[in-house]
Amino acid sequence: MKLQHIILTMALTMGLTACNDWLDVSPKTQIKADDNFSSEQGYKDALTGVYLQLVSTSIYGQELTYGMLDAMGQYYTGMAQNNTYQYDAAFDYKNSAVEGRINGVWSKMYTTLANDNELISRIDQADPVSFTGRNYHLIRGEAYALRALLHFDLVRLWGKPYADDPQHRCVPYVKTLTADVTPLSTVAEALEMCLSDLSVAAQELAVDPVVAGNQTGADESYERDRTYKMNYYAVCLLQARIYLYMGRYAEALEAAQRVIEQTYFHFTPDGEINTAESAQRNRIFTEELVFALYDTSLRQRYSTYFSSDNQSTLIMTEASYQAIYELFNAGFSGDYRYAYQTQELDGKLYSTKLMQPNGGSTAYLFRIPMMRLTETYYIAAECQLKKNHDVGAALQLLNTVRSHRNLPDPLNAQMTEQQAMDEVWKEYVKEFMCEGQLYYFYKRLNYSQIPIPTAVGNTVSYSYQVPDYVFPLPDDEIEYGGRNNE
Amino acid sequence: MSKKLCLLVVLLATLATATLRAQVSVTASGQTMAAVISQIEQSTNYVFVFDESVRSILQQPVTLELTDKPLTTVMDRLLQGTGLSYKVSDRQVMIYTAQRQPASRGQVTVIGKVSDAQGDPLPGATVVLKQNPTVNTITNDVGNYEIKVPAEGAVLVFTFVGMMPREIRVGRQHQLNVVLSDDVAHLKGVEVIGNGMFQRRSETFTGSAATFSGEQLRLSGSVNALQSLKNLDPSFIINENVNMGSNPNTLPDVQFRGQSSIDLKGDYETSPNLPLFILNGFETSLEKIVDMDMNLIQSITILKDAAAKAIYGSKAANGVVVVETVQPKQGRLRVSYNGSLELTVPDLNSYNLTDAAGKLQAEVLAGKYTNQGNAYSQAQLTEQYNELYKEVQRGVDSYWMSQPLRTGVGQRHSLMLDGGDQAMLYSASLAYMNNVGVMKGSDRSTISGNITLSYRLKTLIFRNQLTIDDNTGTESPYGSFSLYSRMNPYWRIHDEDGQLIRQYSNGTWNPLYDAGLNSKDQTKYTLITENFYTEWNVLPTLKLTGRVGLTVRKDKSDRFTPATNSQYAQILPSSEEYLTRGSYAQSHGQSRQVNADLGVNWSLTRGKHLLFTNLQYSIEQATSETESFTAIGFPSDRMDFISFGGGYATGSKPGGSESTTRSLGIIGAANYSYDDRYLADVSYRLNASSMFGSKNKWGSFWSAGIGWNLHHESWLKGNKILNYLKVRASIGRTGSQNFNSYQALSTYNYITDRTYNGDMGVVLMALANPNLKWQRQLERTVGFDITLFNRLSGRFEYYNNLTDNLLTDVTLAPSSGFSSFKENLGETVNKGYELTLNYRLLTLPQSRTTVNLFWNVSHNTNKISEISNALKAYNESQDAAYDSYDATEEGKARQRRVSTRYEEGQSMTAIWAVRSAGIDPTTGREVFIKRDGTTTFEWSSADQVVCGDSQAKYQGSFGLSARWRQFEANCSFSYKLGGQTYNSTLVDKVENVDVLNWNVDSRVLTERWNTPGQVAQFKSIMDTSTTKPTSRFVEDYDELAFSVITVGYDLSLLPLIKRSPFEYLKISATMNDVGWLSTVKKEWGLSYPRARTFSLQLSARF
Repeated sequence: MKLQHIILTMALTMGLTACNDWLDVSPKTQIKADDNFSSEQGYKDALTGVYLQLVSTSIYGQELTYGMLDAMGQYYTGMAQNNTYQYDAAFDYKNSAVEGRINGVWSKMYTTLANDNELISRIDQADPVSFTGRNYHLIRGEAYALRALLHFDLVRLWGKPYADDPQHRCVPYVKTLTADVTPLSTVAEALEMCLSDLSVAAQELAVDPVVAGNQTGADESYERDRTYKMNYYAVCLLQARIYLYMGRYAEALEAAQRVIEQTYFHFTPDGEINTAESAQRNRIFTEELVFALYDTSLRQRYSTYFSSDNQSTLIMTEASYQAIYELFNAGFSGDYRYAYQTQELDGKLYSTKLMQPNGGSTAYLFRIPMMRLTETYYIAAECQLKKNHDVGAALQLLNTVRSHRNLPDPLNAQMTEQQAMDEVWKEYVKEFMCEGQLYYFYKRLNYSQIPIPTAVGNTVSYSYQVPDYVFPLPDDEIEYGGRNNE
Repeated sequence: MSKKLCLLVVLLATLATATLRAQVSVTASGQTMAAVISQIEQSTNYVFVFDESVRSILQQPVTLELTDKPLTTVMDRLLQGTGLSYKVSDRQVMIYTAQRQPASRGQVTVIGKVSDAQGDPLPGATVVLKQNPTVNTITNDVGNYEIKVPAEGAVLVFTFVGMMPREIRVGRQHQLNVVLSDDVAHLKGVEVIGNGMFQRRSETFTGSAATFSGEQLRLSGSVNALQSLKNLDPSFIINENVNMGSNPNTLPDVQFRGQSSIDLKGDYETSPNLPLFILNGFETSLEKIVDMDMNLIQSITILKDAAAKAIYGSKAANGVVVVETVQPKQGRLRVSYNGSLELTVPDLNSYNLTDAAGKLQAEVLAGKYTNQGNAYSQAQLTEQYNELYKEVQRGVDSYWMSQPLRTGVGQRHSLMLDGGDQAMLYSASLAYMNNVGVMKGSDRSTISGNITLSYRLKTLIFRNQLTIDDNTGTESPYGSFSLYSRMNPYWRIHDEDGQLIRQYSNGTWNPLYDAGLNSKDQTKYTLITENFYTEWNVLPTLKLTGRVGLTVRKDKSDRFTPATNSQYAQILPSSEEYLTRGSYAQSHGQSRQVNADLGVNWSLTRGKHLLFTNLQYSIEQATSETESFTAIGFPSDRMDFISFGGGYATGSKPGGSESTTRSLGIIGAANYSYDDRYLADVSYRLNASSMFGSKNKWGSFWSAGIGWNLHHESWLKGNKILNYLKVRASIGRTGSQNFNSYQALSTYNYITDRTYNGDMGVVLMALANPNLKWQRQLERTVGFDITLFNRLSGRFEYYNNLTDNLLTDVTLAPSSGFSSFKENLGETVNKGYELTLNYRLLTLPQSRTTVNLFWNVSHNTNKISEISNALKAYNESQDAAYDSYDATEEGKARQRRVSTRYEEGQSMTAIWAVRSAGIDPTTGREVFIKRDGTTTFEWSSADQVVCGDSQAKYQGSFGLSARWRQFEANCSFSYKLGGQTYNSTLVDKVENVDVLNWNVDSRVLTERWNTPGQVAQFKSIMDTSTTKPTSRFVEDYDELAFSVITVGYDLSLLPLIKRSPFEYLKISATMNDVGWLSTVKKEWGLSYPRARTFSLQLSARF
């Protein structure tokens, strides 16, 4: 009997001590999350994956830049009758194409956030020592900054304007990868969370090579081209945007000043812009891009949406151009943005900002502008007006930009605060074509009507009574997120 | 193990002809007594046991004639004056020397041999002195034992694992040769149920299991083991494949006790309701069982309830089918040969197409030749019509359907050699099967070889079994049968010169043209199975077993379409694509499965208490990989090797998949019986698998069963009416896990089509659910087994299986970042009953005549009690597809079909359609009944209600098996009652048929509405709108099928054969799928026709 007991015990022990590790199988055609984050490269790849998803046409690759948002910003006054973006321009949220685009923004933003959140939760648990140089801080800082960037834009799209109702429960601020539904936050709450994520980011990115003027460190290849990453100054600019959105002008001004005073990004030299050789022209103003997305497929989309004459072409009437660039004023046609970022097609004009000429320098290609140095000047100018009521200081900031855009004279120093603010608006219109920022400008200032620039009698005609600045929540989000009860 | 299997077969065979109260007739004039005894053995079920010394005495001649006398009378007369005595223990008659031993006090030595009913010795059997169990011994390797016991009153207990213990009082006889397994009342009890891990005596087992011998399977069909199983057991259902008919390369869709799983997105690697197949102890595929040579099957056991199958834990929910192959038998070298010739004949009875004249008339009715508005066009149409009319008048009436068909002539051969002695057993076999389909060029052939070696060293047994299968399945170059069934009969096949006409008036290519080109559509696999088994009988009551199994499989598939194929006909030589015509798709697969297990079997006997316990530890790893790629540019159809290709398909990339799963389990099982009356079984399995979520890797499965053998109770014992009655009940939990390997994992994929400034990025594939676990099934079964009048035996079972934690997609709020994830949600209930009856109609031992009837029925109801939001969304998307306008052919076809809807409280097999009030005689349009009872001409998905259920209420089979002298015959019918079907033929070939282009069902002519006031079953012949699901085509579906008939003749007893070296010779003939009667006139076998198979077999052994 003893023998039997021994054997029974042996058999049991063998079974129970069987290692759980053995049951952890690693697929060959995919990478298990645990395996991915077992090396520094995995963290880099995960972050790169987030950037690659930002490039998706359903968000920054198209809709949140030159696509839907610019249509809503009323740039494309020359669109063909059956261009699908005409419904976006009319804020027809019920139109199935518009609804599809809006739902696409929502789901792609949150899918990207899901990837970002997984990265954040992993790097929060990772050992900083196991990373090369300052990579841990760069990756962690960028990941936090991206979370704020995405949520801020979600709030700007689905939330009521802060100025209107900061307590509007608008979007969930998702911080973990989970199937559980995250409750909706109010505009104010969400923006506070953005700011808190950005303060983590700013802290981590204090070591960013751009701060010291792009001195690369131990991992040179990873630290290259910081303009493609959410670098320290992109964080500052984003902070300035958010503070401004909340009307916290002092903080906005402070953040904008940090960018204005930095030395790494600078205005694009005139020679790069006004070169006679079209293919070699710097149309995107590379040096001013505080943050841009890298996208090689832009060339193909540019030809679909801009250069060709078809139903998709995003085009403006000549009258609009005249109004935007005030071409009726002497010397204004020298504005680089008009002279070198515009092309004519059958009596209409379209932007060549995103043009990807064959044989062009790669230094000017493949960039989707996300943040631009000039925005900090505008933010600072607006703060000077709104907080300090200092028209002079504001105009000085605007004049700096204007002089780099080859506009002839400084602005009239005698103008009123309101007139100065109008000049800020005019700059937004000219500067952010194809960048989606103009719509946010109107929404931030809660414009009841969105101006459609036309030069009839040198006035701006207000056309669109904006029905609702708030995007409707996707049906699936309402149904499966139980948003009806919130 | 092999011994017990042999025993099982013998006992089953015995059972088939059992005569419990036999009267014996003998006639002898000068034959030896031994001959008389073998005569008795042959005409009754008695087994005679005696040793060599007795055998010499039995050589004496004897003369006697007795008719219909009890055995005792016969034996008394026979042994008169020989000095021999006999003892009848029910079925066994022991003959021994009646010598008297001198009485003495103290110790005596008892010697003898322990053997099984076949006479094969049982080494390792225990012999224990009942009064003092410390006095014990075990039999040696030839079954002999020697034990010293007190001279007075000693009782020896003989036991052997898996067999009935026997107690024998040591009297004056000091040589005790013992046969274990005797007792006829225990005949069922000695039947052993092998569950692939260990064995249980059937009589004391409370689980539900049905065992069928290889012989039964072979009598019930000749196609494959599963087709035969379908004819034998009502719980085992093969769903009919309307499309693939009798394609030898299509695997059957097997289902056991209803559907429980839902698979919308291909989450399962195989059919979600597929049972688990176990071959010689290790998991195997459905394909392997289908391709197996039936002659090598020793037995198949279906484990049905939790008590029987919970040991397979998370894989057991869909039922377990345990297949054991023939093991070598002891003796001189024996050669067995089985050969068969098979004729497969297409069965087109379900088709009812128009002939040339009828087709033309249908076209006229459909208005093809009428254009009243345009005289010029009308003239052209009339000319077209006249052309065709002339053709018809000339007698053109092409029978397209016969063109791709043939009578398949297949063959099967298997040769097996086996033999050996106590120490070593061996067998080698080689089998070839060529299953030839009825479509030209379609066949499936398998060559397999097997070597089994078994070595016994005292208490150790080693066995090694190596099998290699090589299979090739070729699809017909003629393509889908539907290409032919739709061709217009007024089209000539050949022109006047006898050349194939290439193209017809509506642009259709002659399908025979492509068929004549060299093309290839073939799949091949090579399967190597190596099983090693070892057993150590440590103590008579303790046995250790160990097994290692390795299965390696290589797959390859080739699909070649040459440039000359009609699909490229539109490409002009001047175009760039011209050089890329022709394609060759190839895929390769490798899979490997390693299993090992270690078991302990321990039994305990204390008086009337009997306990068998088993403990097993098992571990398994399965890996598989596939790669595939497509090459294009094959200018000539002779260049049919992939390297002739001009390049890879544009924009294509190599495909592939990979999976690895690992699992381990600890299984404990115990079977207790008290006096063979009160029975209990418990089993428990702790299972871990890599497929489940990280938090739920371990799961436990269990079962408990109780039973009561009423026939052993004193008040029933010997009852003349009720001979056997066992009632049993079981409960337990099983699981199912044949879903994809990695769905519980959180994984990343590289984005390979772009970089971010030169950096590669990874992206999350899905939201992992770390809590994902197996689907669970709570199974409750009650049943009884009964024998009445020694003639009627029956078995009844009622079950209720609740499946919950269904693996399903759950739709998520998109703010989670993903649209759905896998969750265990949802519940289905399958309940039903099964009844099997066998009736021994006639038994005439003298002429070896038996006639047995059998009948069985099963009834199952299925109900979804809870579904996920993703399934609701699925229903909505189906509805949207019905309601939307879709002009594409695929879209129309989708709208014509009934789709599965998942609604709580309904069956998964419910047929959803809109109720129809019939065809409006005035307009020829269909009138629908809305949900609120009002009528409308408009079809709306919102009005769909359950109009039927495709699962038959009752199905089963019945038949008879008979034997008369050397003849045997078996036939079985299967039936289905109380179900419905959606008559797709009426939808596709009568109502939505493209009359203008294709051939149609002849009912188009007669039964479609064409004049106002006409009461018709089908809508207007001019109406080309799509018929969406309507109750008009839901038909009651009752079917009676003549499944199989087998007749055989055993030549062994013919004098000619007796003188030959043949030990056994038998010829038989089988006809499968003989015919059927059905309440529904519906085309079957749309892509591949149905077929009947006739088979002529020869079995020989020498």
